[in-house]
Amino acid sequence: MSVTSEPSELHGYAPTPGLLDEAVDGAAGYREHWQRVGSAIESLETTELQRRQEDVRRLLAADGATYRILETNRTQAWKLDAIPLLLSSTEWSGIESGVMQRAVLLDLVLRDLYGERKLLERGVIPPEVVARHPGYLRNYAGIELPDQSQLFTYAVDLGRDEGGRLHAVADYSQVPSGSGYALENRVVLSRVFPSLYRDAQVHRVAPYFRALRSGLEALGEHRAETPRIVVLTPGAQSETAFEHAYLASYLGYGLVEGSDLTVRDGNVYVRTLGGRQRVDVILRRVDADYTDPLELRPDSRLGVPGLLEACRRGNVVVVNTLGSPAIENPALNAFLPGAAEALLGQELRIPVVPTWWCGRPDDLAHVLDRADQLVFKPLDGFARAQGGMRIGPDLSNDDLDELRRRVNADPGNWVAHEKLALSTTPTLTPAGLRPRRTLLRTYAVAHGGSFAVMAGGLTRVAPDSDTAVISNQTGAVAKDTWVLSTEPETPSLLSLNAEGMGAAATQEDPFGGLPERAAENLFWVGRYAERAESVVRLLRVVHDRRTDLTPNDEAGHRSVNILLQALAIATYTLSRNDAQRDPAVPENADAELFALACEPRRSGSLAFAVARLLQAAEAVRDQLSIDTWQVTSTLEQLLQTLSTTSPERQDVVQGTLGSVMQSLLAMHGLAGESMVRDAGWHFMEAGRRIERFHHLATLLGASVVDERDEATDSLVLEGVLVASESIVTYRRRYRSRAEVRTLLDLLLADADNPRSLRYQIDRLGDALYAIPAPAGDGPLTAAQRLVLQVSTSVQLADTAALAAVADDGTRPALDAFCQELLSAVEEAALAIAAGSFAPPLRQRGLGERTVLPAGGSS
Amino acid sequence: MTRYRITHATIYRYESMVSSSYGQLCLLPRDTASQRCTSSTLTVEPGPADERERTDYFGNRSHYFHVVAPHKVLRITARSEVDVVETARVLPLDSGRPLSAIQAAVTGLTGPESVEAADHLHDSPRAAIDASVRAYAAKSLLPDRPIVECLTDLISRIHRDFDFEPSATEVTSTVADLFDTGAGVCQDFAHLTVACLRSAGVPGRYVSGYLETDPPPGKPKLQGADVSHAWASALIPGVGWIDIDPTNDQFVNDRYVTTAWGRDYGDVAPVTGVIYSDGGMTELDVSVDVTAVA
Repeated sequence: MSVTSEPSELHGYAPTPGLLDEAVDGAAGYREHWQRVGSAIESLETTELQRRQEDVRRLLAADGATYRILETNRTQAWKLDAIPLLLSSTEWSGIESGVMQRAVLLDLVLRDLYGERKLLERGVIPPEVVARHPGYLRNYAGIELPDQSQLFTYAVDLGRDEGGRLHAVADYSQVPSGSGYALENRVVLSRVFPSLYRDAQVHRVAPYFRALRSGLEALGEHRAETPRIVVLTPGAQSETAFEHAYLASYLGYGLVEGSDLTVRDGNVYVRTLGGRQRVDVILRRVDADYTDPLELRPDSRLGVPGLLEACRRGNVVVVNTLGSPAIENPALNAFLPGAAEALLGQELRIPVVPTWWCGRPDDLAHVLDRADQLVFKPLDGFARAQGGMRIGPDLSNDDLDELRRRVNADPGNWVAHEKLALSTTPTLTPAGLRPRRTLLRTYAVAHGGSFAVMAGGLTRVAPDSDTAVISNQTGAVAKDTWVLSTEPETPSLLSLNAEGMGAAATQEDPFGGLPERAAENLFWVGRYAERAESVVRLLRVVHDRRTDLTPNDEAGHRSVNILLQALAIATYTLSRNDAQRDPAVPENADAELFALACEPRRSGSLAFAVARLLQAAEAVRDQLSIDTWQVTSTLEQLLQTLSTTSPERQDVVQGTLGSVMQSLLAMHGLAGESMVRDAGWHFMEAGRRIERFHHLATLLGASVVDERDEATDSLVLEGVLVASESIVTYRRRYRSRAEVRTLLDLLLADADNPRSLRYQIDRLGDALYAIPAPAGDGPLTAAQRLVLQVSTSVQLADTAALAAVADDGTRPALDAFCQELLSAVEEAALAIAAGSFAPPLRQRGLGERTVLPAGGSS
Repeated sequence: MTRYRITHATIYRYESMVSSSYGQLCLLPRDTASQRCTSSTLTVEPGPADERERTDYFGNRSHYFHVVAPHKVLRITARSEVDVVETARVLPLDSGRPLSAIQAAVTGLTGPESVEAADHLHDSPRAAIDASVRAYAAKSLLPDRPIVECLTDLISRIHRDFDFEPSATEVTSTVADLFDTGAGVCQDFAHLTVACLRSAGVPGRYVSGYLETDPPPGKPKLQGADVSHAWASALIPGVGWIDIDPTNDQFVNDRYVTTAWGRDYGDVAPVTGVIYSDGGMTELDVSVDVTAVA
């Protein structure tokens, strides 16, 4: 064993003594299937190899191939080694039939677990093993896919023992990831080593993806001739977000998030402006327990309420099925040989890594005895980082004792398996080629009653020579996997298109129309921009009035208090009813005003509105002009200033408020002059009009319903006119002290005042006519009907009657009128949302208590 | 036989308009060995665009609904009539058999019973078996003690050791929360009971339902004064599931009506759902009437 071979191959590549190497067989030199590629690599200078590695990096970057590290919540470049892993044709045929057999077996197990449960009743698999695994979804019991197979896609990690024999280490059935990365690896490597790749006669991976595609289409066949298929992703925060988008575009399917989908009448629809489009098949990349907040995790915002019910009714096919995670159970390896015997009458072609389930007394004794040599996994560690795995050989004696204690306390929760030696593969490092421990993940997809196995797969090697845990989360590096064919293949028979390169015909428009999420975000851009503007205006009025106050100005003080209260109501700090019950002066007005300007967590504040505006704008980056981006980046800085200013710096706050106002006006100007009047623009316009209407009606209800002494009222009305940007017109037109009736004439009824209620509702009506009507409505949409009602009420409003004061010193007609308008326009906003992009509103638990004191809007 | 007429009304009031509401209900009594539901209706207002009843994993009656009419108030009313047979459910228990014999019998189960037992022998989300549960259970569940005495002692101690206090816990509370506060409601006591049973190797399940209550002496019974109830059940091989009520320190009798059972509250929550709204719930009204009619 101490013989270190004369390092002649691969620029002096030296395998780790005692570990089996994939490329080199000790002193004997290259293994047979490495001969050709090995010599070709050898013929390149080390500097040339490093240059190719740089090409790999560059190509991956150009494709945006990334991977997200969950611990740091950072995206990093996908790491691919320039040197592939080679597999001989002979060995591959064994792997292929072994993986196929294992997939067939696990498919039968899966079917049984959610169906007859004979394996459990007969004790082939102990019921406890299944019952305790969090991947076993009881709500899924009784649901079956229309096709033969219950398992759709499947992956298994294979590694070698010291003798070179491959073992199955872990199964993946939840959302088997990595196939898209394997495809990208192939695309990149075949470009970096074009002639080497061609000469080596490598089996293609494209047939796997064709099988995936035809499998998905077959799953939807019973629903539609050309079924609508979507890829469901958790979104940009997912660790494999790149792969989701990559696969969706490669396969030609739409990429959706849970909020893009909705269940109605037990069917799943994707929401587009062209209406709801029924979805027949969902390729799921969201973990099963997050897919339906109604029946599964209620806190999930990544799912679709009712999805499980839609599956149950057979109205949609979700693959992998929501029940699939049950076979991603580390204890199953201990029982699969028995299951293979019972179900197939066969031995496993690829042996499992020797595994013990501690729920069996003999297994427990064995495991406790050899704890320092084994790898431990708790059943309830499913979905935790690394599955809660503990590696015996890496643990101190104290840690081992602690582990034994935990295993002893609840043996049924623990699984242990042998630690595989793993072989090494030459891997390019800055210091040259070095041996790195290697794991191969292979992929299978249900196909024609059996499974199609990807020729090759995703090979991953450890980041350094010491590491034996191979995980992308802890720095593993990928390799392309080349299955060498014995005879040249005719590419035309294998692949209709060049491998990897836009292989599938992309659907013209996977959804039809502007995606609803875009429309929805534009609507909220309009609403939050207007909300921010309204709050700034009101804040400035209150601030200016307070600055002007003299100690003896009683009317002035009263009017400021009324405006403060109106501000509190308009920012959802105070409810209208509470204000009527207890018209107390807001305590500590300075702190309150500061918070309403600067506190981004306060839901009615300016900072909050600006933050939400920026968030919504970010989501529709492609819909807004480049100039708009300059404005939003200014707003971003101003928001930063606001939220970091101390309350003492009133000068900074006031200065910033002015700058925010300028940016908001610039944004409105750009929207008016630089945006095409398409559906998106009209949504933004509708949002703006709704918000301005709502704000003004709230302000009127909060400020002019009560009659006070003439001096106070005059100041209050003036404040309202200033905040509504109508004071100049008012003075010019009426040349008198402000009065409620004339104020209403200007702010409520005037069709030509761009700040009046009438004007807002007219423009809202215009916008609604330009927005594609949701399918199924009559001549008028629900929103249009409501807007027509509000418009009629506003036009018919008798301002003299509204301004009339009752005996109790209030204007009850005006109060009722404002309330009525508010709830009608709120309902109209909901109807627009429901008609065009429901869910418009926050998803909550049915009985989740409200957290805001009153009013609070998203 | 006693016939009960049960009305269980739940009203949610919301701060803002709700545009869409998905719900899952577990409100209508199932049939059991000792009761039969002779009629039942479930009404959701505003009327759902879609609804369906199914039988869930545990054999309970589960309802799905989807309301699309904008609303600020959601009313869910379940009405049912249930015939409960008087069974002395305690009597067939072989009171001489010690806990250790029951444990051995559970371990030796095969076939469908072994699968059912496995579902109820381990941690579930709201009934985790931790060291404090084990310690608490160990004082009542002694290996040599006859099983009936084990059960009687366990529920008596829970009844004695914890205060009944509706404000002490939330609907989401766990067994650990109960130990922290020292007080809770029937749901918490039932969770503790099933966790204790499981810690001793006896399958335990959570049962939801109703208990007929008497009005105060000389007073007429008030409408809606009843509440929904919850208790625990232990699987005794050879006998079946034995229902025990730690809240009232008694074995379950013919004044109890079972709605549903599962591993814990999470499997049988009467009403769960998802809404879309700008605001949350402001008020929840639940009223329950259990009347013996025959």
